[in-house]
Amino acid sequence: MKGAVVARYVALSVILVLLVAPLAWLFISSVRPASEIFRWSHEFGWRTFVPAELTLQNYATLHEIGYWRALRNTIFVAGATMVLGVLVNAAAGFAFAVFRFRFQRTIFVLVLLSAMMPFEGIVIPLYTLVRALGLVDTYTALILPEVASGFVIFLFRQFFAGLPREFYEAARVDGATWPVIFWRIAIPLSWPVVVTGAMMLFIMQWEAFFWPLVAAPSPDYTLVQIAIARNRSMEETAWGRMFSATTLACLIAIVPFLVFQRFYLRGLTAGGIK
Amino acid sequence: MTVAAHGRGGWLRDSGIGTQAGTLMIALFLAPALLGLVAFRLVPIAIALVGSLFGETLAGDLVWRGLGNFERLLGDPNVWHSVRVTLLFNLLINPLQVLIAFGLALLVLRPAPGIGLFRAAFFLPMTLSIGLTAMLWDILLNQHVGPVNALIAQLGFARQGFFHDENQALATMIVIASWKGCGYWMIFLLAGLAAIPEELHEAARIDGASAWQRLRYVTLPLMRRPLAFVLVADTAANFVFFAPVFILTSGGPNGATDLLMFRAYETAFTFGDWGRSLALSTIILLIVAAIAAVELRLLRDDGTQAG
Amino acid sequence: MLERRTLLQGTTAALGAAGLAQPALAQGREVQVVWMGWPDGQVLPIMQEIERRNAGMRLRVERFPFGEIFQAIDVRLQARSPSPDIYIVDGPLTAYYAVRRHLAEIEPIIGREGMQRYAPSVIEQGSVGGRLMSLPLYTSSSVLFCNARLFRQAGIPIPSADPAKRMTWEETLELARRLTNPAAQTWGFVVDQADRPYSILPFAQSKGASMLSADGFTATGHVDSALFVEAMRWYGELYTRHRVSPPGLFDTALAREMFFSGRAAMFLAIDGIPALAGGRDLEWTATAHPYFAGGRAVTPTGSWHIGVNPRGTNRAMADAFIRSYANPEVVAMQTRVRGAPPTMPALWQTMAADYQGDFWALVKHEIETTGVPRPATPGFREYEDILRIAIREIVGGADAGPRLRRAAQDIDRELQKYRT
Repeated sequence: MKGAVVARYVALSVILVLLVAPLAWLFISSVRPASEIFRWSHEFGWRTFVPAELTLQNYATLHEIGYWRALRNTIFVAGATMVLGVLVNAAAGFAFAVFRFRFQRTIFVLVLLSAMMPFEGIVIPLYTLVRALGLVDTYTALILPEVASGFVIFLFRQFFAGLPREFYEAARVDGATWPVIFWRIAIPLSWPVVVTGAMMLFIMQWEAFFWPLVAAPSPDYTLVQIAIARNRSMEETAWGRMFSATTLACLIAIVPFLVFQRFYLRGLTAGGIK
Repeated sequence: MTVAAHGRGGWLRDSGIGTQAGTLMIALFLAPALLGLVAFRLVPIAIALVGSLFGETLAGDLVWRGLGNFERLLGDPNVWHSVRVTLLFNLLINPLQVLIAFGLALLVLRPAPGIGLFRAAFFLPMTLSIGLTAMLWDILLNQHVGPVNALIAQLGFARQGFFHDENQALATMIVIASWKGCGYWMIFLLAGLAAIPEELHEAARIDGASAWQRLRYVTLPLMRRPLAFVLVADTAANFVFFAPVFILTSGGPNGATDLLMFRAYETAFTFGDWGRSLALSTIILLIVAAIAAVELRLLRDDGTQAG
Repeated sequence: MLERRTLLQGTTAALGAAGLAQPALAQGREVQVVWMGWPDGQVLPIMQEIERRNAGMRLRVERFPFGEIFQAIDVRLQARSPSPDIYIVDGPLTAYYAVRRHLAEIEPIIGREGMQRYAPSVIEQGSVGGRLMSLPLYTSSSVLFCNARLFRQAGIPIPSADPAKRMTWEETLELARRLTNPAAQTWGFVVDQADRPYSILPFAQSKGASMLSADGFTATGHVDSALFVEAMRWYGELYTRHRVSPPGLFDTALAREMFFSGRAAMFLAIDGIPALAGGRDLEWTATAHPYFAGGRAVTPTGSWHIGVNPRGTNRAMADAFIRSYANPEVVAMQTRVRGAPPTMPALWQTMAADYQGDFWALVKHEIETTGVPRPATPGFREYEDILRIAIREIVGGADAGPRLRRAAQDIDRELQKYRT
């Protein structure tokens, strides 16, 4: 048994290094002065990874690209999308899994198709719609189009369909209404799926770049990826600050995951029909 | 624990639990999401599909082309080359990513000291946007500026071109996309694995099943639905993969990374032919839908849940 | 004739009928300006100055990251949006926007007198069919920068900044060979935009090749002409045969890093390099852009311009913005904070204090005598993108002749749509 544990940690560690090493280089570069960042990058030695000089200059100057504002904006937008999105998409996924209604299959196919179209194909009609609704340069424009998501609906549908029918029927026999069943039984039982659905929406907004640029380009509504990109212009690239902005963005985005992932094992193990 | 057999085979035919509910109730559950999808996705998609039947004069007036855009695309050998590259790319990357994600999920499933940190670390590459991922790897893999080639040279091998080598470019794209994405797909499979009751594993262990047998007979059948989700969602994401191509290789070298989505983007924003670009997007949509249908069929639920 | 806008507005009107639509907000006296994501110091002082000169004008400046600026602007222009009122235009793309009716003519705004203050090359770059469609913002030139330390270490005399002592490409290659040191990972010759027409076309132009047909619609016979192919072959061999240049380094920022960190002995780059090298441990000098023996000296020029959206709802204010930007005092201010050469010849004298030294004397000389703007065609974006890919492959070892023939055919095919 001991051997299996050791083997597991060895495997975990090897994968950890492969996945994290590039990011480690990026994080380390963010505390290096500009002249040092590429000085050793073309070698593979300890000097590549261990900085000789440290500086927090790249973090101190983040306000020059409106970074803190962008972070606040993105946390708000991503958070709102996450909360609204989980509710709305879980409800729809529940309906597809649990109810039976006319054109169900067709509508579900449309739901899936809605998520398969390349975004560049729909950006112009979407922009025109948002403009006609007077929503350009608003949080609404950033949040609303991203709340309903075909794949998140699919995700919840898959899960809810996997719960035994007896679950639902027993609850109905007890006189529970569907909203109650959804809210008090189905959702709590599906914490892992709620978490992953929430992460899906959160990450989608955290990475958002093109749509915010088109729909809410005003500096007040800048999101974090656009702020990071401000370090690059045609003429010069502020590498150090690009890396510091990126480092912070990554570390902050991992926080929801760290918080949520302990819910993973709450699953169905206690399940069964009470 | 009771056995529940619901629906006959095939996810499409099995419309779930299928219990009765009033129309108003169904509408309540469906309406917010469907309204959002209709307004912000389906209507724009419909407009785009119609748009693929038109062209535009320089002044912005629409010109009816009927299937002209499609004829032009399907008659262009470069487009067929792009289709081949895209299919090859997806044939390789989708199973690869799902397998790796599944492996990672199995590895981080059971609680252990510090396992939460490993999970978070595996997920960390996903927090880097695809544009930044491309930029970072461009630096790291660069022959002149990056450490990876330095390591390769130290180990005694010749320096590699990676993104700029015709034979390696597509594989390099697959690797960096997987570096970024596997941790992401892992969390969905992790959720699915976590939902499998421990009692089932216990029962199997008591029956003398080996780890491999438990994987095959307990885990995999119950992972059909999550795997179906990950495979379809990943396929859809990979078919519209193009940012690193746009930033780094422009479809080259020599067409090695000539993905359809890059072509659609280039046709719209470089060549200014929106009708033709929409036709390309339509083709991509049709291919993804077809492949998704096949994938869902392959992973269809056979209706049983072990007890 | 059915317009895209009508079709889209019809759909949104339908949604509006469902009670969702509200009228689009009125623009008020605000001028929406889409600008490049340049640093605050290069943008804000000028914008504030313009607001100061125009009572009641309020500018809303959106600065876009350079990766997606064109695409984001395109979406709005394609949707025939009245926003933005003013937007940044890459000089050679003026015809691209003009032919699609995304630009308002500039001469009625600033007058003939206003136009005549500018250098001929920038007026040429912003003009389509003899009409000025975009206001020049910056201009540029290209010189060969030298790392003085590496020259000294190799015992080679540092080339002079005197344009009369311009080296030939053949001489430059010789120096590059002596300066390339694989052990120290230093390269003799690096180009800052190694695959872009801006840097590469002058090679072909120096041999006397033509870039494009006079009407701007045909590349065959020009891009695949013997002289052009010869020039491109010579350029590619720098990477493949002589190995004095690093293959695969197409990222401008990384190429500059190589020079700043002392791994490039000679660096063919835009005049803005000294401003970017500040704070680095680098001893640099400049010498004139080389030419092919028997050919003529040609340098690239041209840079950013400003465009006016003809559909803007705030034309009066937008025009006032343009007039302010064409004011020599504002131009001087803008040029100074950017450290760029002036677009108006008169400013070389009035701003002489900023342009001291051999380096600026060289830049001034090149802009005035050898500068050739990129070819004028509405299909410049197509031309540039297709050519870029071809250049990359030639640098990677592809045979220049067939590759350029294919590029010429691809360009012609895409330029067809402009022949109406």
